[in-house]
Amino acid sequence: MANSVIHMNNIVKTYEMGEEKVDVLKGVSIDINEGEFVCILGPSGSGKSTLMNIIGCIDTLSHGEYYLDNENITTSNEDKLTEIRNKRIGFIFQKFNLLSKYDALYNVALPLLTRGRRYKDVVDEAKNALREVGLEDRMNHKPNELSGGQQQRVAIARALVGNPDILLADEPTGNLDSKSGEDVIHLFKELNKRGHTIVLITHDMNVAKNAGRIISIKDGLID
Amino acid sequence: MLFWEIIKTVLINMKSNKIRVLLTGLGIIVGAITIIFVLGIGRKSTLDIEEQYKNLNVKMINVMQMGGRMFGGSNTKQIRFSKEDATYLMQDSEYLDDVETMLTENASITYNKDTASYSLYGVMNKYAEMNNYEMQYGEFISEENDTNKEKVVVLGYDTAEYFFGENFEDITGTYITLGGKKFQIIGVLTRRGETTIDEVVYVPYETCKKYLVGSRGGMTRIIAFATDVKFVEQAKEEILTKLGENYDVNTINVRDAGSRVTSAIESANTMTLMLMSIAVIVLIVGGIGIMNVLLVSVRERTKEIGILKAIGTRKKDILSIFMIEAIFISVGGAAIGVAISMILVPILSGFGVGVVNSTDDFLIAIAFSLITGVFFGYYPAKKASDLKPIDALRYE
Repeated sequence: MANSVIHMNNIVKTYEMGEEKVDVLKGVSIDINEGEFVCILGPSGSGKSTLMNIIGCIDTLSHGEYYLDNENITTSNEDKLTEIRNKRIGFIFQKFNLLSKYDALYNVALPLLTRGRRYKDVVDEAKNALREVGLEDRMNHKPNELSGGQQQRVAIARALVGNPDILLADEPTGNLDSKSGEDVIHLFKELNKRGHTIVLITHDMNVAKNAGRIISIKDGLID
Repeated sequence: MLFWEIIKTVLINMKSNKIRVLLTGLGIIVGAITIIFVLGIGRKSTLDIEEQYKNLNVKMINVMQMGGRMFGGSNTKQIRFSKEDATYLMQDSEYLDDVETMLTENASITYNKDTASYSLYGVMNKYAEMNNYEMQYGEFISEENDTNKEKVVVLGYDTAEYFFGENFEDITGTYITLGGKKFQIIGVLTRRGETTIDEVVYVPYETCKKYLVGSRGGMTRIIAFATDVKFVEQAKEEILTKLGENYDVNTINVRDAGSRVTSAIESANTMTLMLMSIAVIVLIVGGIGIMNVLLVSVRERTKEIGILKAIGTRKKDILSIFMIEAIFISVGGAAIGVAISMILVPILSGFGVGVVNSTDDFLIAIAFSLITGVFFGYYPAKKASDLKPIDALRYE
């Protein structure tokens, strides 16, 4: 387990809806090693997005244990999780989640600005990240001036810029046409070849087959 | 995040929401202007009072009857102070320098078929000196005028202007008719800007008593001077004690000039305080406006907050982003308010509205606005920073 990036043991997530308690995850254990490209495949309602949010430290788990880089972060407080989100995880959303008021470059620079650095010190790194996703000529455009595929690339650049341990992508092709979707998947494969650990969730087998390993999830359990 | 980067983030955001920012700021702009005007009006009235009383002798004590005919006639028996009362008050007094009596009456004055009614003061020769009066032309009433009951008159500046127009240098020696009798003008007082001085005619006390007081005998008054300002209170007590031997003290009103000034300033301060509370209310309303808009803004930007949280923006940075926006709006609004006031004050002064501002007022307005912004901005900012990332991200 020396090179394990993510080690999750028996994760349970319970939502309380009024009186009723719903178990979305019923005891999920996964291990992801450094340099892997893993796809979590499941139909909608399977709990895959919840699992992704827990991996990304955006949501909290109800029971179980979570080790990130062999560090137990199961009971970490919000400040610690904030730092993890900023430095160790690059999150890519289905709906891109770019900030519409800022141009591509500023969006990509934000995770570094969050670390307390000056814009002029981080702008080159942000440009490099955009170059890696092939968008260096669009860096001064605002999100609404970019196509869906380009917006997702900006989002990927934003996830990459902080040099995280792991890239998490939640249905990254869900809002894209098939051509742009293929490009984005191709980009992920490229990034994986360059050494990035990638976890991607999807309901689409055609997307999943690009990954090195597929983890199927159904009704809150690993299939 | 670095402070400067937070400010840049806020500025970009404000730039893309100009109308909303302006509408929010409006409440603060109005609040700041209100504060500036209230303080200016307050200062002006205090200055006016100081100006009005600047010539007043603070050692002077005025003794008159309360509820006399001046106040609409009551059943109180009219008191007539005499020269003997004055002499008695001065007798063996430790605290009094001088005591005079005077008569006040209304009289119709005729000159060249022009008739008007003016206040008539029957005074002794020291009256002008006691009140720091200065002569524009001629002389004030002399001791001989008084003892000889001479029919001479000194005019207040406005009185003279009324009868003789703007040029009346040479009117000393002229005769006017006062209460049906011919009086010779011997002097005119310098203008003081107070109707109780400028719109009055002065005649010797004894002359007044003999020729001019009506059937009811006019009002009598005693004017006394304390040896020193610090003895004014003792002097007042002594006067009351002595007068109490002959008159009903409950009907006698003893006032000193110092307390008149003090009470006038106090009432001006009360007015300023009242206006100030109105200004504060305006600012609070403005502040609630800020809070409202910021709360709506937090709701509108929930998704954005979620994204910021997802990429690891710290709680305190999100708090700062919203607080700084509130502070910018409030201080910016106050600055605009100050600018508008700087333009409005001279214009309104031109229309005779008494407003005098000092730099302090502008600083106070800005300070109050800042406090309002911080106070009312905190709750929405806290609400934004406390959002859970997953809830904020899911918000549509």
